[in-house]
Amino acid sequence: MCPEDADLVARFAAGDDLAVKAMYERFARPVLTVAMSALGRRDLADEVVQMTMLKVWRSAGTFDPTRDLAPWVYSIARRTAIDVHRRETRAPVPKVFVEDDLTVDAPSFSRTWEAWEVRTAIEKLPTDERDVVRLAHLAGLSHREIADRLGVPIGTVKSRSARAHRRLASLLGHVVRVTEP
Amino acid sequence: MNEDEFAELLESGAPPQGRSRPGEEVRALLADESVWVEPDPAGADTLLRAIRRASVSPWEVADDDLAAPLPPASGNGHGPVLTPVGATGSGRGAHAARPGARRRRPSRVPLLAAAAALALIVGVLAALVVLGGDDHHAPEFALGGTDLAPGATAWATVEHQSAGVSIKLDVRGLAPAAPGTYYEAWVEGREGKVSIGTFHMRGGDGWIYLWSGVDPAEYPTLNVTIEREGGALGWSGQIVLHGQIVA
Repeated sequence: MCPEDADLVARFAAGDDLAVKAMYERFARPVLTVAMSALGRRDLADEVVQMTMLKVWRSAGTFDPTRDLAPWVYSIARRTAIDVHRRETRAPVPKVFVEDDLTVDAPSFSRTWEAWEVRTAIEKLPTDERDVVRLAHLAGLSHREIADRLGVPIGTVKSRSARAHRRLASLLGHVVRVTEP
Repeated sequence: MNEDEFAELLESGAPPQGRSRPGEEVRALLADESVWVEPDPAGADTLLRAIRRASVSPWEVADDDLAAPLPPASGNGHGPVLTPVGATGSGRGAHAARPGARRRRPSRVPLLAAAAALALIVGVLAALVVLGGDDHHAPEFALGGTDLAPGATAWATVEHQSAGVSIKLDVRGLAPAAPGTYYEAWVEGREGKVSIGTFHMRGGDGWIYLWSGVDPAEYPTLNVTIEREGGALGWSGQIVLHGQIVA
């Protein structure tokens, strides 16, 4: 973990206002993405964000500073989403007496890491590039439609799109294990 | 697939061809609302308030948060979760101070409010001394849910009384015992295990009052197991809560 992260975690553990807000700003989006991806309900996902960040704070004092921060927060977020999933679906008896063990790793949990990584990569894009990617993928707009929507020349949209997707490919190469060009 | 091909795939307008091709998963995620949804703009302030509340009392935060499993402690051979909320990682395992105690921080508190708070604390402490109250001396420790009850947790206080040792558990997130079953608390030491009471949690989260006739110093482990009515008397080994007694 970089020294800045170690310092951030230390201040977060101490309850420093700015550190709390910085941690929230940095991780609320990917945590929300994991929760939405896993649970599909906004109300539960919001709850997971708060629970996760509170758990991160509680555990911050025990965090190993030699580890990377993001995977650690992700693991807490995923675990929290699983707990909420369990809570929402669990039988009212302890697991030991349930004939068929409660299935936690439902299909929706299988791609939460990829979703986390994609969200994290998106957040690293400049705003103008991120807008183009969002309109293209989420809204399904063509370059021409995006240009009209944003009020910029189509050439600008194309160049932003190309830059954005090259950045994303670079940031997400480890997810698909791309080879060197 | 190299990075250029991956970028081309991501930018491609062609519909995803299933999830078998490398990169299609990422491309599909880019079109998924979950990676674009924005968190509650007031969330940071909500978190800050929760942290401040939790700094005062381990239970004064949302129950749902406390229903979540606690992080695992370093190996004790039992496997269950031990580290209490707010454990400091000082190497004392489950022997933890109240969560957030080390995190209390007077930053940004106006001087006047800080002085008033200090006066209040001094007053309360003085009153306790005058009145001879001793509840605040009761050792406390946390119990964590095991894999059999991952959402369970408990905060315990221990008091040595003339009749024995009173152990109070504030239990959260432990499911009601199924019909025909009950929970049983045990203390365990080198001499074996001693039952200190049974309960069922069918009324929801709350306090459990237990009594031990043996010295916790000699029986330093506290387990809660689930047992079957009508079954053989004795330890089932099905531990749902576990912790080390601080007495």
